[in-house]
Amino acid sequence: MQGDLQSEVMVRVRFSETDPVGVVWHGNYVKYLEDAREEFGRQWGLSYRYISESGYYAPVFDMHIRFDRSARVDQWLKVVCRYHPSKGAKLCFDYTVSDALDGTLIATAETVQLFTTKDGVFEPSAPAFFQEWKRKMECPEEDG
Amino acid sequence: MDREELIQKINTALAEEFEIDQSVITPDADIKETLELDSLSLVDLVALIENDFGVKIKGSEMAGVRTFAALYDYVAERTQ
Repeated sequence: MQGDLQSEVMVRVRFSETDPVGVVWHGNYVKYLEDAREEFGRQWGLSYRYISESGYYAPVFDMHIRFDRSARVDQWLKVVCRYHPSKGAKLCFDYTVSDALDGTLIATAETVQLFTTKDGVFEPSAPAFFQEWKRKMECPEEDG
Repeated sequence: MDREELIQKINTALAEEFEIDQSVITPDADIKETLELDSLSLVDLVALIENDFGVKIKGSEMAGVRTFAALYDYVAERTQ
């Protein structure tokens, strides 16, 4: 099952997301990634609501985005979010943002989320709900 | 496994994971400073101990494990 752990969303670039040059302002890609990650959570049983109901939050600790091309208003984008198996108490995802019509690559990204309790205390050990999710998803404990 | 073997095994695993010379790992040294840990690498440290030694580490307890000697004690007490 692990090889299929990905989700995708379609995003149509809104005028308000572009900058004076007419391309998507780079900060808006963070929201596109979040959209795809939220969809992943809904599809694969790891939604923010479920994480919260399990007693934890999963804030983003690290993020990298590489921009290969610009996107423009009204363009349809396909944002794919893939779970990257990793050791311990962290959620790692890889992303691609591409033109939904011709597949042209626009950006790639990676995020790492760690866990805190709902009191804001950092949790370095994988919470039970997350271990159970990884068991269900048959996720190997890979580096990363 | 006796205590010396356990210490050697922990030190070897840490040196490999964090790409450091084992000679910098001394019992009284501060773990975070020696391994230059941030939150992400602390997760890796905990995962290493849990996976290699079968010890479940509680986040609340990890705050009290500041030196390598404390880490050896923590693991030894839970692997007996």
